[in-house]
Amino acid sequence: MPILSAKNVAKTYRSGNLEVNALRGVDLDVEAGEFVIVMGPSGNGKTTLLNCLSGLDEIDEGTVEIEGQSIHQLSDRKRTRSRALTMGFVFQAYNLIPVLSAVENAELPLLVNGISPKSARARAAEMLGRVGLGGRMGHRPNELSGGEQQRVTIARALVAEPSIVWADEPTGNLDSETAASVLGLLTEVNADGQTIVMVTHESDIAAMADRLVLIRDGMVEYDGAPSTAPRRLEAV
Amino acid sequence: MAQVALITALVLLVPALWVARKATLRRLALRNVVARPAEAVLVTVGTMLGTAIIVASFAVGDTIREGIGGVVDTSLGPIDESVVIEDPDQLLTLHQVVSGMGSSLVDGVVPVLSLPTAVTTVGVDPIGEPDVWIAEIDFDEARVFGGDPETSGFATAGATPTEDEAVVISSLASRLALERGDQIEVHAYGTSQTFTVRQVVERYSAAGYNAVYLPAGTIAAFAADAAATGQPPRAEVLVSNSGGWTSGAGLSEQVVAELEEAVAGLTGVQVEPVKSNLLDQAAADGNEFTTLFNGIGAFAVIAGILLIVNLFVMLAEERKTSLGVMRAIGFSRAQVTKSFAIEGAVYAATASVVGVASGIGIGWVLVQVLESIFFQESSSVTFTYAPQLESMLLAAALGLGITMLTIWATATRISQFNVIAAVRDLPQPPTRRGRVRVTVASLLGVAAGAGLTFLGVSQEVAEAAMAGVPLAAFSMVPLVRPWAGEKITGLLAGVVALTWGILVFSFLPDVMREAEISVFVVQGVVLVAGAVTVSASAAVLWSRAVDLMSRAGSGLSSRLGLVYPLARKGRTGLLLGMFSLVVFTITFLAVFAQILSDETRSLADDSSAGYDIIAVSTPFNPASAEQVQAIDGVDALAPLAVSPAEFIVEGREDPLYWRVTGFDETLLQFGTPALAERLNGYETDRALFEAVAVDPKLLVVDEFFLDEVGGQRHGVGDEIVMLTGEGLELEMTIAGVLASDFTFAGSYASEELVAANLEPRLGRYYVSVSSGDDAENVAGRLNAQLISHGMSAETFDSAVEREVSQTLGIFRLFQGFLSLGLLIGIAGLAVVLVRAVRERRRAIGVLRSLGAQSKTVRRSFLIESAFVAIQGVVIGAVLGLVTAYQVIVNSDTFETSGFEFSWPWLGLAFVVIVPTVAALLAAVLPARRAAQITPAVALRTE
Repeated sequence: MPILSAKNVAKTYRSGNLEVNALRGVDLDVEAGEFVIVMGPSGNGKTTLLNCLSGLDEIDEGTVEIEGQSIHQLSDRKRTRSRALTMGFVFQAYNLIPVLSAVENAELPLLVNGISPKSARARAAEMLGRVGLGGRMGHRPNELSGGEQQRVTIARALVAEPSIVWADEPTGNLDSETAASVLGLLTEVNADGQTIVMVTHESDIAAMADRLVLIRDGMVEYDGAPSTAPRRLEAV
Repeated sequence: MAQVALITALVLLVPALWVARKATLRRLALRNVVARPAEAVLVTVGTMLGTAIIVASFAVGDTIREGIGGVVDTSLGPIDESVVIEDPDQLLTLHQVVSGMGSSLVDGVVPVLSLPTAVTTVGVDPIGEPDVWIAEIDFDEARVFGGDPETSGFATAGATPTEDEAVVISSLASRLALERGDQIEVHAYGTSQTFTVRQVVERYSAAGYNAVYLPAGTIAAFAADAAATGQPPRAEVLVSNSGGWTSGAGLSEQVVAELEEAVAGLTGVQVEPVKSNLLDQAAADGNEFTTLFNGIGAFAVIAGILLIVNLFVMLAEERKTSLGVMRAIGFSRAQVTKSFAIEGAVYAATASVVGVASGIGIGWVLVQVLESIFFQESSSVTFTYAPQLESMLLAAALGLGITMLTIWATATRISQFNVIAAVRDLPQPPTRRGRVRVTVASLLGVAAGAGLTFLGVSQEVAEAAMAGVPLAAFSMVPLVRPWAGEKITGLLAGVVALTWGILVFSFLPDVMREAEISVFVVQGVVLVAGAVTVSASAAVLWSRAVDLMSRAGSGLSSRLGLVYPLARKGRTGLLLGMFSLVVFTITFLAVFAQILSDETRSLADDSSAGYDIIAVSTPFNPASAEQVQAIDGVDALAPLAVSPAEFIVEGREDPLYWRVTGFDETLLQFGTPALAERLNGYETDRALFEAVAVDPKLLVVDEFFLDEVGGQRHGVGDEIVMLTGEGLELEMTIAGVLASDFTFAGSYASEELVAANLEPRLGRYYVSVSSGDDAENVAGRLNAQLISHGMSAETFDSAVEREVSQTLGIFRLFQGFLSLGLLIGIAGLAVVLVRAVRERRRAIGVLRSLGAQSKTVRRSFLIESAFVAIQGVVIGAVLGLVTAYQVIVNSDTFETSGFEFSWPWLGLAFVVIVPTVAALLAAVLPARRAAQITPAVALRTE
């Protein structure tokens, strides 16, 4: 049974008289332990797809099931709870809470899940150690480099051992060396069995994944192994 | 002053408007204003509150001044001087002399004969007034007196009363419910006459000088019929100076000189510049009250200023990135500053206009409260709301000036930011130039603090002494921080300020002895700054608190609720300052209000000498001891002979008047007035009073005896000189100081001394009621049955309560005004939270995406609001209690009175519960908005 199953997902943004069909009947299944890359031209629905699949955003049509549970049928409270228990997020802009230190940011998902502050702190510290930030735990985001901030984000995404990690352009703000290190980290945790769905527009990264999904005009144009993707489609 | 302030404000505002001609800058600024209309309204409303509170404070000050000065309108009009002659039979002669003076400075002269009487209504259940001045005056002469019949007060009074006619002024008619045709009975010199009210005239101008106008010859008839003793009528010639009512008073000095020369040949004549005396007194009283009011109000004003600063610091912080981008694409620092200043000027100018309107409204409400506290129909003082244009301009200019200064300062600060740091919202990297500036400013601060301390101690300037050490301590922080660390230096500076603020009265008793309200304002600022700094430095404490809250089950919400205010120290400090300052003052006042309330009973006991009632009849028709004793329920009485006496005061040219109350041993049959201090050698209060009763060289005085502003207080053992009626000097010794004197005895001396050397007014008694009789009932009987003697009797409890209730009323007014400061604090908190929701939109989105429930977000905002409010309330309340305790322990006044510190539980409940609940309510809307943020939308926020 797939960990994620999306059927005929549609999403339309409305602004005044203007309507933008961001997603038009997307079907997607993700198995546990998969590393799925979502690619496509800018403004063609990649981030919207990620937001809709993770339940951060509402959908207009279709269904999204995470571990067999249709998340858009849930109340806001239950859906939020479901996110806390099953998902982790890595954002392009890091989105760390500026007034919290690295370890305080990393322990947030554990605290959300009701883990005691003491054990949350211990687990967050351990996770930061795993991502190579054992010596920077007390630093606030503005005292860390971009790469370090993204590592904190990854630590935060993984600390609660979620079923699935959503990563939206995690290397978009990083130089190539730092980006490679962050990707290495993600590959490493994927190798340990972590399911990852990652949005990117960098074609080089696609090769690292098990599967490539290409989105164009809100529809899935290709879904398969990165190696067999048409070069025309890949060059987005 | 107003012009200077206005010019300053315009100097700051105009450049902003001027540069608004630069199309690009103007477009940028105005787009920012209209882009977020709700936030523009918030900033404007917040700024407006600051201006409104300044305007309200000034408007009340104007009204008080005008109200006290307004007695000219109601009771004097054109009357500038009164020439009084002792022998009423010589009034005609005096009138001829004054009329024949031929001074170009005088435009009216009119004789009047008057007498204080008691007046009662006639019929079933008559009611009366014990102290009513009746007068005889020629209405035709009175109408032309001063040159303008329309403003004489007699314009509609008709002809001079004849036969049994009486013309009554409106205030008395109102109190006695008199209408045309009603009958009144006038009681004087032991006889009574009935008159018919022919007309009621407004209490206005010269007509308000007396209360009832009667036919010529009435007073002489009263006097002729008199068998009783009493003071003679007042015979005087009223003089109007050339010019208007107020401007004419300016000629008084010259006119008095001319009058004194003219009447030199007559005996027993005294010239009184009644209007200029009254205006001087009004100005002194008005200034005293407005100084007090403005001093107390200063706390609310400071809260308003802090709000303005906070708002624009936040706005500048929010604009930091876009202003950084402007710098990046080539705008100069000056252009960036101007762009922000234009935007700020739009808010400031709008807020200034709306603030004046709102402040005038708030001032009106305050004046209604003031009126309800002081209103007495018999009083010539009325508080008609009268904000003056000049004050309003000054207040508006102050608000505008403060706002524009803040805007320029914050804009200039931002324009200095490193471009990349501004764009990426990073901390500013330290620069050599910045470090030099901070060092120079710190050194200047330390020097200024040292200078102020020196000035304060050497010249006994209490405000300077209070501010000097804390200023130096805070200025030291940037200098010491690199070595000792931020937390330690901040903590130390805060502790120094707190310690100094609390204990300076003990450290420098001589400097602080005559401390005025302005010192209290500085002390409040010093204490609050110290406490807020200490609180901000105690991060460990708060982390511990968060852990405890986490264990209690509110982990994430409480962490998020506390982490932002703890991280934004400057912003939180300003908010805390706003709350703490106001709560500090309200608590301080609450302690004293509580003490007064608690002490009402003991104050009455201290003054009463064991008697129950104080009974005072008119000296023009005094009730005899036998008459008082004959009233049902009167058990015993002590007659008192009261007279003003002149005392020679060292270093003062003119003698000072103080009341002397003569007593004999009958006063001591149930006890004595309580003493706070006794001359050595007297074991008990009784022993001392018994000595004073028989020794004309001894005097017991009240605490404020011969007290003048800045003068030296008198204590036991002091030798003083009293002048007798014949001008002889009597040397006396102060043998005791009264614990309290709420019945205005002034001082106690032997009856023999007063009778032999002064001209005592009789008819004042302390009365003891028979056992089983109610003192209030007996006082009522005394008033009813001796009304013809102008009897005014009340229990000591009532007399003290009346006095205390007025003082408490003033306290309540101050507390009410300060509550506006609390409102500012709450509004400021609401504004900060609304802006915080916007500022943290993205962070909220992240939290929600991580699985934080909307209630967690909502609760975190409520906790943040409560955290700031409770912290502010606790700091303010604790400081208020500690300071009040210090004042009570260290003050001579409180030691003399025997007052003890008292917990104002009700007041404390108010300052704790109301702001906290209000802060939570203020946070409800922003918290709800925060909780409703959709994660996906929030994450797209730029």
